[in-house]
Amino acid sequence: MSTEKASTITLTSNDGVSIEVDRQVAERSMLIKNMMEDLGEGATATAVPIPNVNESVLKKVIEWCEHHKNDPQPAQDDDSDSRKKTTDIEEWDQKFMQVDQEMLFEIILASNYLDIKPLLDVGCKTVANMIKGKSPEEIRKTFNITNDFTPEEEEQIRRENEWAEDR
Amino acid sequence: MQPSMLPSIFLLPPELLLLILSYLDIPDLLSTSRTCHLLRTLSLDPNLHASRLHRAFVNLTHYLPIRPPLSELMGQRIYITRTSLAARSLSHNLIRIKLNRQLSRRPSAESLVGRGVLPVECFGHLNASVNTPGGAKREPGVRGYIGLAPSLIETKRRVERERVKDKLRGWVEEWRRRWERRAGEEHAKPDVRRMARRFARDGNAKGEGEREPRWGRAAGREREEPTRAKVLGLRRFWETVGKEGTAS
Repeated sequence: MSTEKASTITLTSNDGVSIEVDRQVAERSMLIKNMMEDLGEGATATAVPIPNVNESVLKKVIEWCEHHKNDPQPAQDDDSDSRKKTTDIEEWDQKFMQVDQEMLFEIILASNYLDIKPLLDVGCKTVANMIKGKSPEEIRKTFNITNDFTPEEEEQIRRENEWAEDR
Repeated sequence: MQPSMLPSIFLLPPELLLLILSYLDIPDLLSTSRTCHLLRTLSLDPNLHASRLHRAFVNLTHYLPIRPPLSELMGQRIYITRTSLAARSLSHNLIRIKLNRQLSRRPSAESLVGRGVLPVECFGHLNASVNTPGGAKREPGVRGYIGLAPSLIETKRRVERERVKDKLRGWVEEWRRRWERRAGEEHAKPDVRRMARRFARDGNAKGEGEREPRWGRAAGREREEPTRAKVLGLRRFWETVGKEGTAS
């Protein structure tokens, strides 16, 4: 077991860069962990291609995994999971997520692909916090979304939402 | 459409957008539903709201049994009953009435100055206001004089006190220096180099000395500048004294 912990895995990003990481760090990704379990010991010798993720994003994801490598695995209890649905983010993660929007969404995509649930949660909470308390127009400005409603549609939505206006 | 033209939030597939929206509450979901068609469809997704309701159900079943009893909340004044609210407003009213009565009876600033409670400077600009048309007849409470805050005057006095202290300190320092110099001259050791340095410093200090304040009788007594011949003579004298001292 101890020799297994020390071993490393080589990950290859989609732009052909190989990054060597500790197996313990890489196994924060359930995708890699399951793959390792399926393939057995021989798999550590060959590089693992990560086709959806480029170098800079992969490095960022590995940085997160390095910092959180000793975290306990999240419990699979569905109810306790849904009870803790807050948007609080711990301080290190908040700093970690201070990147431009494209990088943020790339990290979310990568963590979804690599199946790193805690990182996916942190990313989604970060985006949710960017939306919280904003008006529709402010949200559009934040994410550069174009308003594709016709004036008639807008009027209808406004009427539908009247019940919630004075809150 | 080019991928670069797309806002980067739409890099995310709908299921991830839904996951983000699942962190939001109704008011924010209403806002997102009014941004564009795609986010509207997602924000109004029945599954999203079903899971919201499920979460609320789980939260309630978990927290309802462990909530504190009403009596405890009333004890900690978190839950306020009608009677305690009435009692509170009553006591507020009482305080207000009492304050109003006492404020109307408070002595004027003038009388306070007279009794030595307030410093006179608080009323310093009173004379100026007498000449103004409105304030010809002064009465307590009439606007027209410029009152200074007592704390400001306190600060002003402190600054003045500091200034006087500084002056005194400088004076004492000056006297101590002179006394030390004289004492030093009396107990001079046959150290020629130090003596020469002192003479040189006296010579240099002469220019600055004129600017320094002079005090008492010392001001009149001018120190005469030693000539070069005198310095050399003295030096030779002390050197011989020094030699004799080491020889004996």
